[in-house]
Amino acid sequence: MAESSIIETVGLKKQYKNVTALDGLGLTVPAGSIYGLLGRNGAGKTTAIKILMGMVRPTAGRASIFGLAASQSESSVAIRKRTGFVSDERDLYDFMTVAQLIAFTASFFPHWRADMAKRYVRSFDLPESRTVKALSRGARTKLALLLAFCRGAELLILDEATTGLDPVAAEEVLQALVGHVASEGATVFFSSHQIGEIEQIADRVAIIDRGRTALEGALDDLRESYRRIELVFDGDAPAVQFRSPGAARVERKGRMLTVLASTGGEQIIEEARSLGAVSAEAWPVTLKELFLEIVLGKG
Amino acid sequence: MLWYTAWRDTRWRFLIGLGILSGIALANTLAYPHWQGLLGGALVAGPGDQPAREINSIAQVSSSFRGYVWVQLVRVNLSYLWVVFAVLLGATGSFSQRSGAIFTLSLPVSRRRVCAVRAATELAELCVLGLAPMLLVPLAAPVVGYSYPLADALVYGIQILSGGAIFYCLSLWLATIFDDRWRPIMITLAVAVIGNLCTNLIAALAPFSPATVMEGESYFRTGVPAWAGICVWLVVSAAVLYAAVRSTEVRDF
Repeated sequence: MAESSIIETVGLKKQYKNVTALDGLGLTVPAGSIYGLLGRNGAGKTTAIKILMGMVRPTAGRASIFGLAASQSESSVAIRKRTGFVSDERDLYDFMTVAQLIAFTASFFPHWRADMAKRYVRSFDLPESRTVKALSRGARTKLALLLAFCRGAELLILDEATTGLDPVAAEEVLQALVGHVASEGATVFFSSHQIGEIEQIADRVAIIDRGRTALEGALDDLRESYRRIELVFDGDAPAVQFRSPGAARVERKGRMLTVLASTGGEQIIEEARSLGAVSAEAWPVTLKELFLEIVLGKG
Repeated sequence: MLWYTAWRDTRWRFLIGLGILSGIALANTLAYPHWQGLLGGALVAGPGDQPAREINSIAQVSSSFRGYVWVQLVRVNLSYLWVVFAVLLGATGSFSQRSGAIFTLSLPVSRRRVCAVRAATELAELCVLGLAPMLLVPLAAPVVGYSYPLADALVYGIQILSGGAIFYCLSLWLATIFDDRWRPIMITLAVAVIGNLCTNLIAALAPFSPATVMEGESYFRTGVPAWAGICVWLVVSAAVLYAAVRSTEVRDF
């Protein structure tokens, strides 16, 4: 594992009877990054996160956090000492009050930040005497975030943290996350199917599709390097396989060829002109377009 | 703090069980004078066929207060109902059936430790469910003009726990395999009922039955607890409990 990587998965596979949840997932999460895991529902995001948290055992491959194997019981406990986790189900003890659950969680973490917990109780407006069962989904999410933040974790793993929240609550959660990372310097690994969220806070992104890593990199680099090239021909566009590097996907419709280029695209344009293209234009690609191109094969 | 969550999760089943079993122990104890009258008539009036011989046998044993407590409370009411509450506690003891399971798994504790704390809490509750109703008997007996040895109450309580722990462990193990609550409960109760029927029909199986240990007949007749049965069923229970812990350790959540 690279020294600066916090999370690394190599060839990670998970098979549930007839369903392949992960099919060779490979991820590398650098220390200090805010890393967004983007994928459709059922792409394998939650399974990947559960493997990292030691809740699901991989069928094959390797997953490690802080250089420790996630699937081994003892190292998984060591990982969880240094990791804050918010599940997509916000599964907390319904019978406890907010104050009881905070005290309960604090007892497991020697570096618990009681001052920070008090601050978040106030800023999240959490009613300490109310049972968890009686909390709204938004308040439940904020409580789960508080419990993850205040344990002094070096790594925060969040699975669909804003799913089911109204836009205001979702924004509050994202702002709290960004604010916490800015002040405490933790690494964040979060999954979402909301492209806007990823674009808003992530500096690195991986798009996973059918259990595989379809794309991974720094968000700015991806935006910079990917281009949509639209080529127009006199007659019907030729069925062509580009020899130039970086032609990730080619779509042919009438007189037009649309090429998703992963590296600049100048060579592709030159090659297209040699094939008779009368017009060639390159456009920047948004993360949404990139995601749709990769996952659905259309922009 | 894991103890606290285990207690909070199980307390109502435990307290309801404690109330019901204690109530039955008290009612049985206080009803002895009335029972004496009923069985005295049965002893005199019964004809010579098999059911009547059994009634006469029960009536003869019940002619002493010690015998009545054994035949009515220990052998029937307490043993059977204790098993029901043991199964109810075990069948709801697995991770997958509790709120906060994913949260627990995200804490820096091993699954083995969580299981151990949970099982220890429930076994302690079952110990109380076995002993507390029995200890009410020597306390309440003077009310109806009798006395009851404290040692008997303790031995029967321990035998119920030793023989019946297997049903708790079995339902806990099944609960780690099935995601619903009903299959562990139904399968374990079916095993208990069918096992009891088999040992009633085939006398040679009786010494190997957990019911024999729970009923404590050898202690009643000879004053010696069924040590061999106690040891055997405690070992079997520990093995099944270990299987439940291993099953929890390797399963996906």
